[in-house]
Amino acid sequence: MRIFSTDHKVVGLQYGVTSLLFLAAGFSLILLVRWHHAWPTTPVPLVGGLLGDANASGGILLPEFYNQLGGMHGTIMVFLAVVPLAAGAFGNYLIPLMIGAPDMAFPRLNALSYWLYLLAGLVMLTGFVLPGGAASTGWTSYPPLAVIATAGQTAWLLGLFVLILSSMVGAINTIVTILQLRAPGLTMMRLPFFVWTQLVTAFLLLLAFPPLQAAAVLQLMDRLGGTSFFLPSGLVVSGRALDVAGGGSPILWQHLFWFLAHPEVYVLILPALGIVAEVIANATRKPLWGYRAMVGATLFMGFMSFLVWAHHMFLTGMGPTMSAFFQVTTMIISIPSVVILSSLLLSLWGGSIRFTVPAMFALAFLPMFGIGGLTGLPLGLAASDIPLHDTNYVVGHFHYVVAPGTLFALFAGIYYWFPKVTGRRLHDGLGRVHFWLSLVGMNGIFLPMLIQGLAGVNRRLYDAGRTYAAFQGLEGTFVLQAWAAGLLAVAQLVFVANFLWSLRRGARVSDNPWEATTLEWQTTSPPPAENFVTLPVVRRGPYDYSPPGGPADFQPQGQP
Amino acid sequence: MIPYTVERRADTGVTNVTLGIWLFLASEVMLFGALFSAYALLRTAAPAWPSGRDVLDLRFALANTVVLLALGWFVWRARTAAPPAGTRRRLWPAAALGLAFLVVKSLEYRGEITAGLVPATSTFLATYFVLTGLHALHVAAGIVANLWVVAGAGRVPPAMTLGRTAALSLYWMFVDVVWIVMLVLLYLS
Amino acid sequence: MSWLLPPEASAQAGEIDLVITLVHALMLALFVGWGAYFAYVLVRFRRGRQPHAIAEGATGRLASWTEIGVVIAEAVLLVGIALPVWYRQTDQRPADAVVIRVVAEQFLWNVHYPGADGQFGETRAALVSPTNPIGLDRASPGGADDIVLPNEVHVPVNRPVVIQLSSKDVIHSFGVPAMRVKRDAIPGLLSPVWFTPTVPGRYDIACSQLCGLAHYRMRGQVIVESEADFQRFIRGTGTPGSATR
Ligand code: HEA
Ligand code: HEA
Ligand code: CUA
Ligand SMILES: [Cu+2]
Repeated sequence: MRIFSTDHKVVGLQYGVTSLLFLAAGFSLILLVRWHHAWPTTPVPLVGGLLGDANASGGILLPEFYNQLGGMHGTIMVFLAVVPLAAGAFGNYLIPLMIGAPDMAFPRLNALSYWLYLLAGLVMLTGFVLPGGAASTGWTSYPPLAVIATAGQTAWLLGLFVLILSSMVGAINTIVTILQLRAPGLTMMRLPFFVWTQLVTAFLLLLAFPPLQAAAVLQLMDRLGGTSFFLPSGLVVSGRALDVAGGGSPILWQHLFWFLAHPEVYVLILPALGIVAEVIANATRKPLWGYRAMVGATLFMGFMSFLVWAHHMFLTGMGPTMSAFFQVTTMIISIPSVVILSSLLLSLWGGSIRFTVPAMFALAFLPMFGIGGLTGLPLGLAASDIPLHDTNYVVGHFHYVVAPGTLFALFAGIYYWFPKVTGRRLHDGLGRVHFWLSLVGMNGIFLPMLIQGLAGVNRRLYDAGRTYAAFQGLEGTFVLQAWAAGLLAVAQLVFVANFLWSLRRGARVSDNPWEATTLEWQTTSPPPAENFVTLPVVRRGPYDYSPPGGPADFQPQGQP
Repeated sequence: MIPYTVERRADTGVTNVTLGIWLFLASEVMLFGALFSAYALLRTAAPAWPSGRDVLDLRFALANTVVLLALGWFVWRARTAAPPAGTRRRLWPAAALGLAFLVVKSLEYRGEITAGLVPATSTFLATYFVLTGLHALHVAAGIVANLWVVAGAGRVPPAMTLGRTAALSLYWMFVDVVWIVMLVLLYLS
Repeated sequence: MSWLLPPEASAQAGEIDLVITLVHALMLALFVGWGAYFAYVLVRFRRGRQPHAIAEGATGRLASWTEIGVVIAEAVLLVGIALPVWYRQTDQRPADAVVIRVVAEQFLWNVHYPGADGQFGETRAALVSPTNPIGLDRASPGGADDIVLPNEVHVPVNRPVVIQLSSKDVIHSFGVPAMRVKRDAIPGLLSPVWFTPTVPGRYDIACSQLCGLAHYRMRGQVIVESEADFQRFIRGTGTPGSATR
């Protein structure tokens, strides 16, 4: 396997390995936080002494390091782990196979997008070795704080700039591939739902990211060029007047940031919904219920996601008309999620459900995403957002959607397509252990967050808010979270061990071990160069499971 | 081989390159759209906003407008020219004009900087430098793209060169349009 | 669900909590309803019980009905209560309120009272110094008796209070959980926020926007006292210099 390959399967795997490493890194950072919040005066075990005096004194985290941990965890998870894994790895590897194409439409650009992504990640990480450490103003990087922050913020901005180039190239490639390279007979309405979600995701990446790129350039100028796009006149920092022209607007950054970042959260969820749909159709042995409605809802969700960004900014002070507008759009955008979730749930009715490991992850996704999505509603109403904004309730809300939501879907995908990539199966028993421990661990971390948030405990607090009245009586929940995080970490060790062991020793399986219908299973495992020996011709919809009177309980899409 | 690199796909009616360039331009519209919105927001919020005519030198801008329009005309003609000779005949001068644009722009920047007009001076100048700087980067990228098409014209099938020139002409058209908008917003208002 | 929320200490806390409670009731209904269905389906349609799938699947109109139900419930919540509550919170500034200015900085709240005359003196950035954190011009009209205190917002009970928020450096957020109040303090802007305290006592002000290293320590207090105590506070210590710290 050549390192500078343009084969979509190689690029997909490169994306996959890199993003899994970033995922592990993002998780490691936050484990330190979970320890510190539970036992703030006890040195972090094992690694505490290795963190350096600038970061931890005697193994106890310092505030400056804590702020880097939170911000870089969010940044790494969103930009360098989950999106590259969902869109870069799964998208690259699977889309051409699922639509019966020999490769992506622009193979060289595809490789370019991977290398840009790697570069972006490395640039962001250099922050940790710069004086003052990595970016420490949250993944949201609000100015003026971000403008006066240490050099790590510059690395963050440069990394983001490169990352956006990478994702633009990748998005164009995905869209062109899906629209242009579909096999004969594969009409749009015969596309697997996963491909639809990737298509909409690519459009979101293509159109929502550039404004953040523009904003990153402006913030770089503020930091390096002495401009004041985001700095108003008359700033006095630490008792000294800031020497800038002024006249800028801190709120402008928030608009540009959230114009990206809200669509971005749907980028985090859509591919996950796609994976879950594939796995559920396969595990229930029946067609998806309401495929058309799901496709419609996905398109509508993509469109609406450009119109809700200011629901992150209710408390900056906006006029009643504007806030009413964003409250209405936020309620509207919850509807397509309800439609998709309802369809997936109804798809279970009448099924013959096989509780395979991928199916367990995909099924658990449903109620977990349910909690995450439902807790979005009180945040979307400005009145109830007043007490909840910037508390742990928000952190709990979005982790339920991205962690036991999206991450579970991604795990489902890894277990499901591992045989396609390697010709071997991941160990089943270890997979079940991974699942149950993760489920318990995740809930043990994120459910307490909702309770803390309702009680009024704020997020991003170095000491978890110990000095506040709201904290009193909740100390135990933080200890619980730390234990749960430990359990979650153990679960991931099981997964890593399983992964590495199965690469070499996993049971060999046939080309279509799940007896699935979609095209990627109608070639060898792993697929040859150019994917198919003879190009498939598609004759039916994606989920022809248990056709009445059929010979088998599934009919592959390409079968005459 | 990847299908539809040169021939059109029947149900979408386009080639991969054509679709790709339109998507790219859509993303570019969002990029410059965001910057122009930022410009509008900052300008309406500012207590005072200088008139570009007083601060900047319109002569440079007008010269560059002529250069860019000529460039666009050359690339437009290259769409229908027979590769490889015809393509080269039109894309070489276009690339040269692009270089001329950059030279004029640097002269203009130099004058401004020596006069103490730098991005840190005022929000107007900050927007001016960011917008024109980003646009100049696009011109530079366009020159590289021109040279790449010219270099490939001898090697790839004519149909492919024609596809690339068509995409290129769309790109330059976009660069021209952005320039005109900037001319109005920065120099003339 | 009031046992989960902080104590209510302002006139608006009740209606905000009502919104929270109603939304959570809707969420709970959806979660329990779908959860029960989910659990049933997993048992009923497991492979052992249902060896062959029924391709046709669900035929009822359950999905449409829940979807329509959710739309209606959300619309009622939004238009019927959430929007009006928000409107009162942000757009109906109470008349005859006690007005107090709060100037946030890394990492404390400078609280600026107009003093006995009810008039704020002028502030200018140029006058900012370690002894004069907000740059108050004592010589300006009304400035002589102004009180500037760090981190203590004294307010009388049962009278509307308007806090005029601003910031010297970065964005902070003035959050008082017990009052159900939160509003960003943004440099360059003057943001008003209001509430009517109803229960005397001391309540946390929690900075609710990441503002740097000591964000977690940027804690102030709202001190709700009787009208008489408040009057004593605003007059008694109002001699120039004595209360300025
Ligand atoms: C996609 C996004 C994403 C994901 C998946 C996660 C996952 C997790 N997050 Fe994170 N988080 C954010 C996005 C995300 N987070 C954001 C945006 C913020 C806000 C930041 C800010 O304040 O600015 C945040 C903040 C945040 C905080 C608050 C910090 C603060 O307020 O100061 C906490 C606290 O516990 C936390 C915890 C966790 C935990 C325990 C997980 C766990 O679920 C993680 C579990 C991880 C795994 C299960 C990985 C397992 C995989 C492997 C081990 C790889 C194996 C490798 C091979 C096989 C090669 N997160
Ligand atoms: C994948 C990511 C993702 C998704 C899908 C969502 C979905 C939603 N989000 Fe969330 N959100 C984030 C990620 C996400 N969010 C992040 C990262 C932040 C914080 C950023 C930061 O500040 O750092 C955030 C913050 C955030 C805020 C700002 C809060 C604040 O800062 O004060 C708001 C406010 O409106 C909001 C609303 C919503 C809404 C209404 C939805 C809706 O789309 C949800 C609709 C879904 C449903 C309504 C569920 C329906 C399901 C059922 C009914 C089935 C139940 C099933 C069973 C029991 C089996 N979100
Ligand atoms: Cu001030 Cu946080
Ligand atoms: Cu959002």
